[in-house]
Amino acid sequence: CTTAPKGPQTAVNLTAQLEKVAEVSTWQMRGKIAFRQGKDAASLNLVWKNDSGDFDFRLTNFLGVSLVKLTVTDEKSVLEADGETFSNALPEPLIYQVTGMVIPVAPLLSWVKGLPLEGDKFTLTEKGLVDTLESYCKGCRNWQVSYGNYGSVLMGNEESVWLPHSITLTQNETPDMPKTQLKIKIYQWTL
Amino acid sequence: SAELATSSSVDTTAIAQKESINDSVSSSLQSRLSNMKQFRANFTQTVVDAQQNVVHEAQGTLTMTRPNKLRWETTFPDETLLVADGDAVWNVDTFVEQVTVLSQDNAIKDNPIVLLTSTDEATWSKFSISQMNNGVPTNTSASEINNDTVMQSYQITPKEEGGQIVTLTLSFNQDNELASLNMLDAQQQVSTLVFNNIETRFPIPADTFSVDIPDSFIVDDQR
Repeated sequence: CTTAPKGPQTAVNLTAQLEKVAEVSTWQMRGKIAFRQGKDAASLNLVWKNDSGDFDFRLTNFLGVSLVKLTVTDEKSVLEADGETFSNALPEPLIYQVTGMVIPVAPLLSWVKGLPLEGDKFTLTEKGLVDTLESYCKGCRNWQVSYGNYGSVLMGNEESVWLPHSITLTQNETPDMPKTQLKIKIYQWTL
Repeated sequence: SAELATSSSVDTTAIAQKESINDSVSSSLQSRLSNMKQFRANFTQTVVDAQQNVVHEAQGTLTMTRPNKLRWETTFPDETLLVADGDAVWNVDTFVEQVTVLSQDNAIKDNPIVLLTSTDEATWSKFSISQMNNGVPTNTSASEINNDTVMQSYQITPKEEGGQIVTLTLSFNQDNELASLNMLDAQQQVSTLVFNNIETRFPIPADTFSVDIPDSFIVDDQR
């Protein structure tokens, strides 16, 4: 397996770290994502390219066959899966329509970087990086996010920033929705 | 009218001729595969999208024995295991702790690699085969091709539309070993496996095509 990246040896200044992570608006990650909802589970290879909110999210199986391609711009979202193409103005309703899963896309673009949003409650690792996070959301089911394998990633300007290489998002069971879990293992960040 | 009739009869002979080339190429591939009773090699896999961006990379081992047995195991970037034991295909997914089981006949449509170990004529008839020299499609009949071309490639295309894989290309080196294979999918994504440490005669460990499932894994049996 790939060796897990080394986390920080000395304590990190949280405000500086979060400011730097917030600046990162163009990124690409390659890794693996697992979905589990009740007994249904699948894991696929993931390539996710984000450019300030316009993003391309692609899932490939072990043979190398593209199974899902989601392209989102501020005008519209297009999802190709099983040889069919679906589109909608927004990604969330599109993903729900095709997969039945409620995925908080906009918050996710911050959470995957280890950046809590306004009102999210979070805890820190002993080195001062975000360890777990509980999403603040009125009238919707909140998500618990837990981070691991932080590694230092080069930014364009010779600086580097700590980014998580494993992320688990969990939404607890409710009367009408089974427990939902997304697990992301990141092999490579490119900024 | 008569003129229409004659032109249609010309087409049928053309088709018949095309069929015969297809049959002779198919039998030439099948004979090449049939003397590959066993195959085991390490592979490096690279998957690129239509714009040639790398989408996935992996390393592992592919083991095949005829008929109908295959083991695809990756060790990098993480562990994945697929075993076709002749009846069922077992997909062991350690990342999500789940094993998915499919009957082997259903699996072939989306995974023509399983075809490489099939000796079943009916299965082979579902694919059309063309021969390529060093990647240049030729429609000359099998006999005219001189045999010292370095890489002998065959393109396998499902006759039935709608499978995930559009074309599977197999390339044999001058030692007649399967040197690489690549798969083109409906999104124009290409997955290429290059083989090394190729073995075609080796003792088969007993458990090569069996799977032991950790208790914590969920089994999703779709047979």
